[in-house]
Amino acid sequence: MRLSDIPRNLAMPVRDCDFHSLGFIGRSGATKLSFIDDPSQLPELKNDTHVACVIANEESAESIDPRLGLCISENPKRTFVEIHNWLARESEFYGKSFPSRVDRKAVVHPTAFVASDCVEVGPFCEIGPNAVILERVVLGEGVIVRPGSVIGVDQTLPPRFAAVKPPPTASGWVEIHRYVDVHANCCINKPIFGGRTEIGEFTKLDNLVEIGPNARVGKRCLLVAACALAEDAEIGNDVWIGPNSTVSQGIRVGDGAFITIGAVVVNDVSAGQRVSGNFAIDHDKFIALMRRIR
Amino acid sequence: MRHDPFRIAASIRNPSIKASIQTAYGILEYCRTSYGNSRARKSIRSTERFATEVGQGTRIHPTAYVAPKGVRIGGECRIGPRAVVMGGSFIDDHVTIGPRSIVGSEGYICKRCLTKVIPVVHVGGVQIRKRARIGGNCCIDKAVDSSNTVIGEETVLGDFIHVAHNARIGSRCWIDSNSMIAGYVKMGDEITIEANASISNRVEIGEHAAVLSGSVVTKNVDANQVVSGNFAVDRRKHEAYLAGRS
Repeated sequence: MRLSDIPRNLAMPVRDCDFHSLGFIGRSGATKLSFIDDPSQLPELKNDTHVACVIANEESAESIDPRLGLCISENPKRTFVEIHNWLARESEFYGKSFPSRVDRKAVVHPTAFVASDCVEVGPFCEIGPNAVILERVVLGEGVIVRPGSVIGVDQTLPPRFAAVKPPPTASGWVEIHRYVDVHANCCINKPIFGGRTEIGEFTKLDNLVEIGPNARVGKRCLLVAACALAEDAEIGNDVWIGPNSTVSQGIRVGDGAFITIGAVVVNDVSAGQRVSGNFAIDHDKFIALMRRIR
Repeated sequence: MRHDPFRIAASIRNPSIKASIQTAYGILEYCRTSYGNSRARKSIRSTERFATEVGQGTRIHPTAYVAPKGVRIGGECRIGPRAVVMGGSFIDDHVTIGPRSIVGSEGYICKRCLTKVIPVVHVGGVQIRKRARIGGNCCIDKAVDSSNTVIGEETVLGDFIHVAHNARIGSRCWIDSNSMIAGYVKMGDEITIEANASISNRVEIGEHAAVLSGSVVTKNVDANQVVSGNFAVDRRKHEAYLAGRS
């Protein structure tokens, strides 16, 4: 999508440019369109190499890198949301909309709710009583959604978006690959400004697991009860995430890592590493520390 | 975790021996789990054959779902909106189940076999004893073997609580919101568990003990003991450590 393809009443491009996604500065998304509210975000913008175009007000426009696409607006945040809503409504930028397809071999419980648009339920899927599948969710072959789980909840935006009217429409996707189990009362968020939450094949989610928008979970992971993955978390393959643990925003966890019960992970975890504690540190170090206290 | 083939194989240096051991374990695990699962499915069919029985004076909200087979609910119970009671649940008299709570859903044991992960089919049930109260959005899993996950008499559970397979919670306990009780935990009577605590699997907690909020309990707790911290230690030791650090 080019900036000049957007209707002139929404945005006046100063420097035209290509973009493939929308997103905040410092967050996920490649060749993205972003915005700055405030001149204090300029250094952050310089560090983010994934930004292709920026919406800014006249004041901060002068100090923006001339290689970036630029669009001037009095209220950049509002323009950003308006462009997003236009893309979601009028174009196929965020993927085509289609009536929901439920495979004939899938079993959907009569009390479950499956949205009428943009849901794909693969063969041999099982959707339990009172489960909810909202728009823009793709379930692969043999996915089991147990009672009370909600898949495709809209991302909650930071409070600075509360005043924006009309609110941005959720247009990301949730993609769940084959033979994933989602146990009771889980919540899987979908991102608002495009992108997808992805769960790899054979991954099993226990009860009350919460997966944030844009999180990517690899293959064969075990996510035990009540753990929470925040926004943009990236989990490798064969990872074990213990009960009641938390993985913070944007954290990368390597293949085969082991996060013990109740850990709060705020730093990246390398492949095969075992971490524990709040905040999580290497397990051996943590046990040495525990010995001193006990 | 001792028998996890991935961990055993990881300690072997020679790559070809490592790969063959991994494959052998994978095949063994796959056969064992699939055989166990096929037997488990048959046994569920035989145990959950009876039609659901609901006692007198029990009020089930119209949006709640109670499985048509294998559930026994006593008298004067309350089952809230959107709650789900699955087959294999035995609920005594005067029990309250809050909105969106799930009783008797499948437990969580997964076996890694080669490139797949296979869940183990659970055949047990859930027993909720008299006058227990369960808040909103709780999950109580069924037992893996032919026994039950037990919630004792007059025990009160808050909201968002997970009680895993084969856990046994005593009478008159109080468990606050967001807590997580893992598999095979054994709890005595009159225990207090504060908000967002986690109890690791196979831990035993003695009667009248207390687990303070946010604690992560990985070792047994004696009767009358108060523990706190992540991982949990005796409260006095935890406080002494915090006082020494500041």
